[in-house]
Amino acid sequence: MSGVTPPAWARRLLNLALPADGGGEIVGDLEEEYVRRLEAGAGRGAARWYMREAVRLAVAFGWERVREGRERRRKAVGIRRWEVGMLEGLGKDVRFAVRTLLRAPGFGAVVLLTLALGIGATVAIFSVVDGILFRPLPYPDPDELVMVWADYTRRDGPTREWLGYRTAMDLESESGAFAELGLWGGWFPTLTGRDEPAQLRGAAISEGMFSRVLRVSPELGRTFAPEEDLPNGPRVVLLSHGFWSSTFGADAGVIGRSVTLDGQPTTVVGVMPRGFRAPFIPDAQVWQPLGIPPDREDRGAVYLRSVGRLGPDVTVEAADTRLATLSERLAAEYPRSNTGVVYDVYPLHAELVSTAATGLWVLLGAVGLILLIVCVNVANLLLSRAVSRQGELAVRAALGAGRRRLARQLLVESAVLGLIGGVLGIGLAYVGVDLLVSLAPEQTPRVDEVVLDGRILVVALAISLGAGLLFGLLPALRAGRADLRSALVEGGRSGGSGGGALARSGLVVAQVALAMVLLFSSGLLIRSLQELNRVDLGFEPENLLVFGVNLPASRYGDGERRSGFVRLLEARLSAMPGVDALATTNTLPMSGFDGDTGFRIEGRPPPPPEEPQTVWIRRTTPGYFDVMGIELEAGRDFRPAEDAESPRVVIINRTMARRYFPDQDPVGQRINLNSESDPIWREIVGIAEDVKNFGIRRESDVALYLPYHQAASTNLNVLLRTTIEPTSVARAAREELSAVDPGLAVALLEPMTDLVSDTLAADRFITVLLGSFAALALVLAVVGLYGVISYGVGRRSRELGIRAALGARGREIVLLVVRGGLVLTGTGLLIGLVAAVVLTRLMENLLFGVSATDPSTFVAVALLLATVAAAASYVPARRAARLDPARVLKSE
Amino acid sequence: MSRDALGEFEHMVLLAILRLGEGAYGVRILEEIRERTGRDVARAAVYIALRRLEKKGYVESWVGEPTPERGGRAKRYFRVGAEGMSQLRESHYALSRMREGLEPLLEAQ
Repeated sequence: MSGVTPPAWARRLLNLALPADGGGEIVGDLEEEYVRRLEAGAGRGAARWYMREAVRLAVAFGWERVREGRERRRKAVGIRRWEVGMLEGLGKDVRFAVRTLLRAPGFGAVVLLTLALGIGATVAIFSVVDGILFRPLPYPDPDELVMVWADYTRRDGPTREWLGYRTAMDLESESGAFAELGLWGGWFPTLTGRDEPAQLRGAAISEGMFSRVLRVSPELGRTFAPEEDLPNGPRVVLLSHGFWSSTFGADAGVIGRSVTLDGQPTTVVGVMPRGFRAPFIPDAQVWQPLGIPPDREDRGAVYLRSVGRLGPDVTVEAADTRLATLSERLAAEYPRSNTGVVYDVYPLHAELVSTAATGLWVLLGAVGLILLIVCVNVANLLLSRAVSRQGELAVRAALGAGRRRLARQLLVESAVLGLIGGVLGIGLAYVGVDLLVSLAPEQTPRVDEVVLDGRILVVALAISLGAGLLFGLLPALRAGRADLRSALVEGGRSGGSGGGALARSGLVVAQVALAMVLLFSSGLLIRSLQELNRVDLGFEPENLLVFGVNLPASRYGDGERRSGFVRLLEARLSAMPGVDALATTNTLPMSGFDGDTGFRIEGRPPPPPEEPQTVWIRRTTPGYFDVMGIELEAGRDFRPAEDAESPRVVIINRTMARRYFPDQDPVGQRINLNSESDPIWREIVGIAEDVKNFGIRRESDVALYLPYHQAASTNLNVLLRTTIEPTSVARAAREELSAVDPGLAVALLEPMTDLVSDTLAADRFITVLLGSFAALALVLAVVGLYGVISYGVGRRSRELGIRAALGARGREIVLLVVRGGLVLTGTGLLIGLVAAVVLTRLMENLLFGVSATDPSTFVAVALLLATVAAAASYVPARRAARLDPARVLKSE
Repeated sequence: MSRDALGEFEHMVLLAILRLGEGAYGVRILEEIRERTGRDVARAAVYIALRRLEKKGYVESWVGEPTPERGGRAKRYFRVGAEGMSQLRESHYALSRMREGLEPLLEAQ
């Protein structure tokens, strides 16, 4: 503390305590005297004096303000007396409630813990659901954003097919529905020229996609210019904020700099803002222009997806209608490509979250049930405490507190409990949300937009208050109606009216019913997961390492170069220790990335253009079927000698064989995959077992295999069957790739078992969560049941004592009590069953291989509940049986 | 006695302001009361009394120039207003009438 300036904290105290008008001058007066004392040589004493005076002033003005407040209120009383009275009463009730709670800390702790868990879980799940389903997308006017898909169902194709360039241009210009229709495709370049080559994830977008469709401006630089969105335009790239930070150190000088992508120098023109995510490839690090030739006429090739912004005042329905009309026109003008094709508009938000929507709603419903169970539980606890407080309440009633006042008092207590529990729950929810987001399956849409913010807090407080009023209702009503005088007379001992027991039993039945619903749903999901795991994939994923590489088209422009690369890489990799066998494919099973094309079988009439035959294609090197453990039903695998110079061959799958060659041997027949005018006939040399190509749930489709060396692609995955743990081979594999071409990055390096497991990640996530809720519900219900039975035994101790005295054996008493417990459980079970059957219908599309009303699951769950309930009843029952009848009867 | 009665301390504060005439501000008012009455009056009491007097309308205040010695803060000066004068006169008259003849008793040490 210097002797020259007065202590800062004293000044701050004064600033706080003194009123705004006049306070400054008062401080000035103080400073004046302080300076005078300093000049008189008081030194440290002056500072001490200042502090003393500051504190005294602060205290005095503090009281003055309180007095002024009271004065103001007193003046207002004359006009709004009743309001002030009620507020004053409420304040008193709150204070009293807090004191009451502090008097029974054990009880309060149990209740608050239960509430915190229930409310915390609810708020956490609600945050996630809100962030994904309810919040509008983070773009301006998000309701105008849509996706356009082509519906090929009339041509035996998918409902949501991609678009061709010319068609997309026509849709945009001729329908009048769009302000702009943006297009995009995936782009996965390799970054070289810095340390190690890195595989990047990105997208190729039309020039107006960010600026006019999404309407998001870059943080640095600019988006693309129209002349850059041309096939031979300057090579430019946009960076994501995260990529810019991590790889370029957030250096603003990156704009204009050149980076090497896929071996080509590319200029960085802009950086997108922090937290920006496009509604496609959300983890994209880079974007480039599509660069499609504007005069491209081909309508058959569909390789683009879209995000569009509707024109002003155009609704989704209106846009759909316009597109339907346009679809008909296009079908008439271009029958080959467009007959039977209808273009549809879908709101963007719904499209993005559709995969997760059902699961999220189920989780929200489930956690709502948990909250209800928690409220019932707490209501039960409050009721039992109300019984023991009946003496206290009776005294207060005798002293003049009206019944309504007492009821209000209890309600305020519950509300306070609810709010405190809610605040604790919110604290838990913060942790919970982080946990949920980090454990959520990767493909969960919008999961990184989940945040626990002010709007969620408001909802949380509302939930807490609502819960408090809900569980406080029953005890409050009973207090309002109870005959308190009789409670006084009985000395508050045996719990007064029997209505209390009925209410509590009713609550337990409700708990059991709710637990039943959760247990049943969770049981269905567990069965479903079992069925999913049992599905025959068609190949063997164990001990398989997947090693994926994307070859840049600039350096591997023709099939010969790609073939050469693969042969070299395969040779080197097979020489590694621990590698038993290997082969290469372009796309992996289960990934759904296969390309498709139309085909024609030799000797048969070509299919009509409105009903094309299409088949999924995979390109593999010899040894593929052996490495993957896929059975070859007939014929043979490709041979190493079969390359671009030799006759063309294919291997078809079982589904294709059965569907197109039901009465003849397909081996030896020939297929054309190219155009009618310029056919290339390929001979069928083998039939392979069906393999799941689109995740586990979808049935196998018509598919065939081409030899990689006759149809080499730039993306490839080498599959290594290892004798040891697959990951231990990983590092050596990377080095081999470096040795063959140091400019290439590893796109994927994972055991196949992990990839397969990932496809079930969402199912597992929901099952685990719901299972946890169900377990929690079971525990709460059983604890509630135990409490009620225990209490009942206590209340009936006299009756049971008489029974024992009259000769009832211990076992009979136990049976009596346990039967009571089972009756309660059974009632809850039945009610729960009815509710469950109705509700599980809503989660049908989450289930696989098991119906929403599966009886065996119900039996299993019912048995579980019954057993646990019997055990819970048994403990107090045994206590009852051990009662010494003489002592019980004497204590009356 | 009319609406808001004048407390004894408030009375003294008004008198102090009158005595000081021009330039009556917090520090001076406090000193004046302390010196003349010999009581170690609390600073806060003076300010609060001034505040209440202003609220009742008996006193007016205005703000002067800030000075560096006061940490850059201004002085607030006070003056007894018309209402205040009227109150003072009333009290004075009433008290004098009540005191009349009791001086020997009141002035005994």
